[in-house]
Amino acid sequence: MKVKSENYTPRERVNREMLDRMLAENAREEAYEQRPLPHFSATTYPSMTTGACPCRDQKTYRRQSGECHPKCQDTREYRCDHSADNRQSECKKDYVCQSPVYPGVSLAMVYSPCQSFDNLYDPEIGIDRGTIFKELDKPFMPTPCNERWCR
Amino acid sequence: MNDMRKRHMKQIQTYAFAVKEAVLYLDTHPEDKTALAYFDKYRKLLREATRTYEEHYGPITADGTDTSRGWAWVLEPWPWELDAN
Repeated sequence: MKVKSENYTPRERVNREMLDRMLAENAREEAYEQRPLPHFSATTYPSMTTGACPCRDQKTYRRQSGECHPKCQDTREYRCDHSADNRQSECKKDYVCQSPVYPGVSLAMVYSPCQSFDNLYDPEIGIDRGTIFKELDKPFMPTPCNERWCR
Repeated sequence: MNDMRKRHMKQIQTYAFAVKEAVLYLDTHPEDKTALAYFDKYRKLLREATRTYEEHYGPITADGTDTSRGWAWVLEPWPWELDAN
């Protein structure tokens, strides 16, 4: 089968209709990301002192006027802290919500960078390693079990 | 199987592996010139190594059989005849 040179990437092979559907889905997801967030207060959600933070992607959570944490006098901004030592959501000024891995990068999407034809092993080494591509040489190295993580 | 023959066979397997890797890469990057050159290079080496091996030691696959003396393919040791291989 001859490959047309003008449509050889996976994106280019997707037909127009499917592409439009995918883009519409992306737009819907974007809109969902921007939706207004509900209130969280200690009276409505008592478990918020140890539970999940309502902020995402470094955006601050803006409370609507009204309820606030009983301790907090400042009703302007409600920020949450994901640091290891303090998982409580309280009215504090300097805490910022961090996406755990890559700030600004959308969650729940798979990223697959394009491979290039370089960083090659000599074939004699490649056959031993199971690949000629150094970047794909990722041997499995299980770490020893410790008490906490083995259950 | 003597040492020289083993080494020659290992060489063939190495070239075949390089070709296989290039094939997989080219399936997703059909226009990559570097990869195409690599594929050409190692396919050529593979063919030559296979040809010289088969001249000296007999066929690796049935279609590599030299038929000038009949069907030599069945005269070679079978794969499970380990002493002879």
